[in-house]
Amino acid sequence: MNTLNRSTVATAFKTGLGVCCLLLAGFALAADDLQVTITSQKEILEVNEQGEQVARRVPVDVAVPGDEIIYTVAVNNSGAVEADNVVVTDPVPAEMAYIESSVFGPIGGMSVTYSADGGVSYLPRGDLIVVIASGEVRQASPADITHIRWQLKSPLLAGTAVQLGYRAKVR
Amino acid sequence: MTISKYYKTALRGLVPLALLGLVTPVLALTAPGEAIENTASLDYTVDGSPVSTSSNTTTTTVQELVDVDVTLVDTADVPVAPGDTDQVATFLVTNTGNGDEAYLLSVDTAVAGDEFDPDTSTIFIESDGVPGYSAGDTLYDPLNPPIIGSEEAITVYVVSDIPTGVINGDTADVELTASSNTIVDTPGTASAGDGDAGTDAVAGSSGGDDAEIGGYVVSEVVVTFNKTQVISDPFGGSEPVPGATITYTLEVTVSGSGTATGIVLSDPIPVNTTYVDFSITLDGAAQTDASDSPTDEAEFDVGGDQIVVTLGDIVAGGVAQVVTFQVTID
Repeated sequence: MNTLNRSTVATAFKTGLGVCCLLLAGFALAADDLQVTITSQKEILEVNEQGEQVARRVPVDVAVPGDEIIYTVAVNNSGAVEADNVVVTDPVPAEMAYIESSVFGPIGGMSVTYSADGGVSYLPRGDLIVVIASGEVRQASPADITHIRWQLKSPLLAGTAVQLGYRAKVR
Repeated sequence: MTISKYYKTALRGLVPLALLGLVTPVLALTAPGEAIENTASLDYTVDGSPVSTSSNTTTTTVQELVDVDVTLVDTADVPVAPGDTDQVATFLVTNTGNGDEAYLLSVDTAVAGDEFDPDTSTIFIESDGVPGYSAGDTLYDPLNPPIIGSEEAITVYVVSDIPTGVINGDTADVELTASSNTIVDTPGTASAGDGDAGTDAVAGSSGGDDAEIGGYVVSEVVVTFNKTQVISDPFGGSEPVPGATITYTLEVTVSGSGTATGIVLSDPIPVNTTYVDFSITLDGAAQTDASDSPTDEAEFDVGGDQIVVTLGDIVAGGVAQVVTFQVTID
């Protein structure tokens, strides 16, 4: 009995561990199936062979105050299953000031909210306020924005990708 | 990750209102060498299980922006007289870039479109804390140009000697130029490794230099004074006999340019005559004899036996001020 009991307990324990490991593997797999990458670029104006002025985007490794940087976040679902409730959050770097209405992404397929309090609360742009001295509030200016959040309205299907982002100026 | 996300959501309601949206204004320009990093986060669910992950981090390194703004502090040409020395035109030189930068200063007196050039124009930098040019300020040394911090300004005086032989209304323009000691080039041009903190120095919208014109105007005010008299005797004639009345007319004209300030007209009653009470007029308007400003600015000074009219400040080129009064011959 004792031996049997021990064996049963041991088997049950092993099975439990196995389930545990499988679950973890499942998590890891799902996490790896969505890749998120961010790039920073600037636009330079060039004249093409037709003599037209065109904007070309190039990586921006260096910048000076006043320069405009385009941040683009790409989310790619390379897995076999759809991802639901996809939310991308980007903290606007402290050295950068968001440029009004520059946010972009899948038009109609996302809702964008903003934070002006370091990511504590998120609101639609028009509702965003900041507290000034003596408890008074005012409408948040673009430079007050600390975080931007994109919520996709529909699942990100397997094998698909979205791009979203915004423009900001170096303070 | 998952737990922390829901924890944050739960916490949201507990954050004191006062903390919401507190602004920490970032006013200063981002310093050269600073790394701007950005990492996005991604949250989603797979079959109802939440997953969180982070993106790579992008890094953009801030370079030194070299930018300068020269402005004129004087609101008008500085009024001077022929032969004046140490006449001061005041400028402000502001480093609108994000690094510490040495600026070379120069003054050009041979600006077209004016009537004369100062004999000499010397550059001084405000340094003694006393507003305005004073003996304690520093003479500009081209071998040791002033270093101006980011978004800081220095006050620069162009101190000039005015030649003789110039006339009213003549102007002299002086142009102050401030040029970066590091880079002066087309906006956007970079000079590798020449910026603060080992960054590139990048010419800003000013191109690394800026200039502004100030100037002087010869402004001499000339006050001329003319006195005439009309006698009327008791017999309808104009003989200076006892009992005749003399009407004096005093005309004050200010010519040249500028403003004559604090003009006071006083005229003693001649001996052997007596002032006619209440006879003073100013530009045709009757005046009282009392010293009763601001009712009027004329009075008969009994003790001094004179009339006194305070005309105050008169701008050159205006109409003449006319004062009349009467006396009778004793």
